[in-house]
Amino acid sequence: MRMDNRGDAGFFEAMAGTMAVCLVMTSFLAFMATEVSNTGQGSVEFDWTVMAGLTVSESGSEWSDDGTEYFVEANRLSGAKVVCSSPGLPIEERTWTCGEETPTTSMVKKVYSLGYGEQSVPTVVEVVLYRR
Amino acid sequence: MNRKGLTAIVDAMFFIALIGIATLMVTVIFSDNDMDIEDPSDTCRKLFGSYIDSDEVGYKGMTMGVCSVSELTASSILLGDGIMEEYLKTFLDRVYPWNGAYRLYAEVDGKKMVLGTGEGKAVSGYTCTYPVWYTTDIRITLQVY
Repeated sequence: MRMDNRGDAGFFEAMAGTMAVCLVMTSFLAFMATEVSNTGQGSVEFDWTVMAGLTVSESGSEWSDDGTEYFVEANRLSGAKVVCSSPGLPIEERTWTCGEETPTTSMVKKVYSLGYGEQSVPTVVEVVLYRR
Repeated sequence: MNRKGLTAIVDAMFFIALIGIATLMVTVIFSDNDMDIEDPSDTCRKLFGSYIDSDEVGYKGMTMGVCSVSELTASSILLGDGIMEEYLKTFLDRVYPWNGAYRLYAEVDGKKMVLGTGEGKAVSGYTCTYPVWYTTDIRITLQVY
């Protein structure tokens, strides 16, 4: 390689430039492919039937957590968090977690009307799914 | 530095900026954290079809007992006491927690209540009416933005 007096290395410079561009483009495509595959993995739809038997009392909502645990294992998730609350009413908020928390999450929410004595209390159930 | 060298540096910087913008766009589009928006029809039906103890929302000593949320909302609008406004705001802020997320319109006997700061084109909405035994039906519209 020999530069001319204007700092131009001719064919070698053109080759090095092309290789640099190809390298950056390949890295970018690899990053994009990873992002797309991660998003596909997260499209797990929460099965609300696992919340069947959800009840409410003064001390908060209650349900069987077996179904939620099974759902986490069956869908190869890292963990899950369920929060039941009746905003605006003097009913305790209940939080239940299983597995490990990860930064990759998806959240689903559903409003229930739960029987409690003569009342049917509007309750918000929030489910955070932690993906691997 | 001659003119050719300067052109090469500017070209490289332009390319790096372009790739940076593309990466940012991909990151935003394929964001890791997804959130499902609760259907306003489901929210309206469950919320206004529920029966709650009037004492627990602030009607202490008024012997109203257990009433439907729709009837309590109608009473609150007619009395202008703001009690149900407070309750509904607390509830809807939990269901739709982002800024300017919703707008709730309720109308009974010519009197209106508007809640929320949502503006622009709604993503989804739902309108329903509930009977109120002592006056006209209450008409409720919930729009989510």
